[in-house]
Order: sequence, then structure tokens, then C-alpha cells
Amino acid sequence: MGSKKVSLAALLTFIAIAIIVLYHNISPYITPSELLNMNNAYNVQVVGKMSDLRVRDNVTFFKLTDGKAEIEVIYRGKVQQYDSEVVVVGDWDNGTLYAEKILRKCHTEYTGG
Amino acid sequence: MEIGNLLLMFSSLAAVLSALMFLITLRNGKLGNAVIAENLLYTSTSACLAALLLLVYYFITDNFSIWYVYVNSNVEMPAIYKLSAVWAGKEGSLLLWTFLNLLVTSLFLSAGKKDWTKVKAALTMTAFTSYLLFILTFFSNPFVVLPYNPNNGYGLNPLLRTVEMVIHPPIVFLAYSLSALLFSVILSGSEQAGSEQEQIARLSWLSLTLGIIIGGWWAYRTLGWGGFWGWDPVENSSLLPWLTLTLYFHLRKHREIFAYLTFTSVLFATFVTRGGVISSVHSFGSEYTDYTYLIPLLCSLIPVLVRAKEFGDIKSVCTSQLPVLFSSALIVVFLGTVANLIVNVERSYYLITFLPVFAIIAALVILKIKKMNSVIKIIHLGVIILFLGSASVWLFEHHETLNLGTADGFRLEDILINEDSEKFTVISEIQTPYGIVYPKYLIYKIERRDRGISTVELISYPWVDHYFALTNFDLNKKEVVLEHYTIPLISAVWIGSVLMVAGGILRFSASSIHRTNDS
Repeated sequence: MGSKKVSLAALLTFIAIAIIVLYHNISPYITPSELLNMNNAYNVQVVGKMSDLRVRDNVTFFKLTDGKAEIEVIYRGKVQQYDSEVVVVGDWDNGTLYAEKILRKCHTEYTGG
Repeated sequence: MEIGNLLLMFSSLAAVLSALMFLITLRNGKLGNAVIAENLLYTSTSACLAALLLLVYYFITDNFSIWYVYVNSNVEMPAIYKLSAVWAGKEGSLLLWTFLNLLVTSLFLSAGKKDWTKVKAALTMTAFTSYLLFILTFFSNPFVVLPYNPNNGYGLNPLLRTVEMVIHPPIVFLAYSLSALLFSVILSGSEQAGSEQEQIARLSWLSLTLGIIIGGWWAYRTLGWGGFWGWDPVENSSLLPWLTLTLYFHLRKHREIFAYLTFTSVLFATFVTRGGVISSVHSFGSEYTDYTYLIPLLCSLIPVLVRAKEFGDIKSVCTSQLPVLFSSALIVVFLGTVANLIVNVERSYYLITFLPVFAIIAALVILKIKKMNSVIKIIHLGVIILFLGSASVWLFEHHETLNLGTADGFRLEDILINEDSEKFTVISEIQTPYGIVYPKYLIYKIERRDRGISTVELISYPWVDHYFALTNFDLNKKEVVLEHYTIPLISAVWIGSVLMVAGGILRFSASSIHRTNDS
């Protein structure tokens, strides 16, 4: 009986720790409409679809939209336009999102197993 | 009307009638009546196979008036990828899964002596598969016809044009079907089904392990998929049934609960990948959440809840703490996966929580490995090596982005572009401190906009892989941007994986021989 209680206590403690660790290791996804309400924000993860892609001297400009609002994104480097949603990680400053990374939303484009 | 639709409807009808006949047989108590149900099941299986082959035929013959073929294929694509495109989307992969369910049930029923266990298990399987066929026919139909006939398809996602795409999904779906069968056989509750049950469990562990490993190998060789294990919701949700099934083999008493949970996790994985929950949280008008898979998921939890009070009496063949350890790993992965549906979960979460649990499990294996028999030893040796490799990769992987021209020791020797009927290929020749590599950038001539991909070039040493991919180039200025990953001990991940699969195969075939001798 005693060892069972110890096991249960260990498991519960572990779950509690896992939840705390999880809480400190998440960052919310933001939509372009939410971002427009902020003046500046650092290291944000913005989800949306790309449009109006332009490339000039190795710098890419494009618009990111959530269907309601759109924002201007600048990325140093080339990137192709994806059909699916992307996550843009970067800094939001005075109406422009300076992208550090552009991630495709995991590989769920394969919608199978 | 489209023939494919007729075949699906016919298959659905036969499956529903088969389930009903199995039920009536159970009620009547006359085993002989099961023959009708059995033949209906074979009919349903044949019709479903015909539908699958018809879809393959439509892909091979470029029939773009079928919407599903249009979206996932194009004329220039090699035939082998046209075959794999059959299961590249939601509808086709559901058709494949449904067929495998029917096939597995048919084989199970036709092998050996018919008894009540088989009838009960076949009832559960046909009922579940009828539900899938219902979704397939009415909500997720691959045979939707376009009102016009396009000249060419939209094109398969370039990332899916790999050999792995041909084999990975069928193996994973086979594992999913087998875990449904395992659930059904255990639910039918016969004690004498012991060895048969064990065989199904072993085969589903083997195919699940193999499927996950091929997936890991594929992800490793694809830039942007986060290495061999990216903690992505799709990968995570395939790890959950693996953990429950692995724990199942390590328990002596009340282990059935974890066989049930394996199937529940499979349905959870299906819900995560097919339900559209991953996109739906971002509130796009066109995306919708599909809750149909929650119904079988909740049903599968009933036998778990009925036996919930037995959780406390679970006995392990190893140490008594093993169920707690595995449950911890399960909960960590589950929490992360669920959280990832709403927010972004950093990789560090898994490093802090999962890695220590994995380390304790690996340490336990080291302590116990001496006492194991040779086949079991191979599998567990694989676990230890896999742990060393994973820990090394997760903790010590190094990444740098190089602008060639400025980076020391790296030089762009040449860059040129080729064209064939299918695609443009940018080939670069780059001198690195580790040797010359030829990373390419492929641009497919297809309608979809995500048409370009980087190929991955590897220089492998036993202790480290140097991984190169071209992500940016300027043909006029002869400049490229090169991603360089240094991945220590990735070879241990593959060696460990191969040992686990090899052990799994030996164990399965050894017990098959053993069974044949018995009978």
C-alpha cells in the first residue's frame, strides 16, 4: 500500500512540475489584427497567410493576413510564397514586422497519419 | 455516377450488414450463422480494395476531373510518386486506412478456428470500420468530380515527393489498424486468445516502431522538419500509442488497460491530424474543425473507465516504478501536444521534462539488460543506443547560416541551373572543410506556390553528421546562403532504431514458429 502511495505522489509531483515547465515554455501565437493594436512587441510568433511577395536586393517584403487585417513584413533573405499558413517570428515595431524566422506550420500539410 | 462512389457505398453497405449479422449471430448463439457475416465482410473488403485500386488508376492515368487527383498530382510527376499521392491527402489516406482495417479483420477471421472471440472482435472491427466508411463516403470522399476537366493537376507538395512517402503512411496505418484489432480482440475477453493476442500486439508494435523510424529518417532529410524528432503534434501523437503499447508488454497484471489506451491514442492522433484542430485555432474562415473522430475516441475510453479501479493493482514484469515512468512520459507528450494546439511550445519543454524520464528508463534498461534473453536484449540495447543518440542530438546540435564568400573554409565553386520537363534544378558545388557537397534547390513546374525545396546533402562520420542545405541563391552574383548543421551521434539514433526493429522482427517470427510447433 505504501509504495503505491509513493508512486502516486511521485506521478502527481511530476505532472505538477511538467505543467510549470510547460507554462514557462510557451509563447502564444498572435494574429495580425491583434498585433495592429500594439505599438511594439518583441519575439512574437505571428500566424497568417502570405500575399504580395516582393524581393529587392536579397530582402523580401510581403503582407501577412489573417483574413481581417494585414501587416507588412520585412525579411532579410529570400523566401518563397507558401499557400499554407506560416508562422513569422520577429519583432513588431511601428507598423512593420521584422522577421527573424519564417516557419511553415509544422508538416501538417501531410494530413494523413 | 462516379464508379468510385458506387464502390464506396457498396463497401459501406456490406460492412454495416456484416456488423449487423455478427451482432445477430451473437444474439442467436449459433456460431454457424457467422458465415453470412464473414462473407459480407469479404465483400466489403473487396469493394474497398477495388475503390483504392480505382483511385490508383485515376492517378496513373492523370484523370484530373477527379478533384482529389487534381489537387495532389500533375502530369510530369514520376509514376511512383503518383502512387504515393494516393495517400497524400485526407481523403485518400482515410481510404487506405479503411481498407487496411477491413483487410486485417478479414485475415484475422479467416485464419485458424472460428470461435466466439473472433465473432465478437469482428463485430467491434466491422462496426468501427463502418463508421470510417460512412465518413469516407459522405464527408471525406476522394471521388468528388470537378465540373470541368483541367489539363494538368495542381501538383503534389514537393516535400512529399520522396520514397519515404510511398512506404511510411501504409506502415503507420497498418499499425493503426492492428491496434484497433488488438483492442477488439482484448475487448472480446477470451482467455485462450492469449497467444494470438500477443502476436497482434507484437506485429502492431513492430509496424508502429518501423513507421515512426521511417518518419524520423524522412524528417531528418527534410529541411525545416526539425530533425529526426521535431516534437511536432503529428509526431507526438504517434509516440503516444507507441508508449502505451510498449508499456503493455512490460506489464503482468491488468495490462489490457494499456492496449485499450493504445487504440484511444491512435484515435487521438487521427483527431489531431485530421480534425483540423491545428489550423482551426487560428480562425480562418475556410478552416473548420471536424469532431467526427471524437465519437469513436470517447467510445474507446469506456473499457478503460470500466477498469479504471484496476490501475492501482497494475503489476510490472520489470520494476514496480515502470508504469509510473511511462505514464510520466505519456503525460508530458500529451500535455505538450494539447498545448501546441493553442500556443507554440518550445522544444526546451520536452528537453526539461521528457529527456530526464527517458534517461531514467535508459538507466533501468542498463541495470536489467543482463538478465534478458538474447532477442529481448537486442531490442533493449537499441533503446540504450537510441537514448544516447537522441540526447546527444537534442543537447549538442549546432546550427549556422553561412553567406558564402565570407565564411572561412567554405567556398562556392560553381552554381548552375538545369531544366527538365518536371522542374528547374539549381545545383551548387561548395567546398567545405569536410569535403565538397552539391546541395540543390528544386523548383517544380506546378501551379501551387510552395513549389521550391532545398535538398539536403550529408557528410557523415560515425560520430557526427555535417548537414548542408541551400536556402538562398543569386545566379548572377554567384552567391548562396548555406545552412550548416553539425549533428553529433545521429548515427546512434539510427543504429538504436535498427536494433529495435531487428529485435522486433526476431521476436515476432520466433513466436510465430513457436506457435506453429504448438498446434
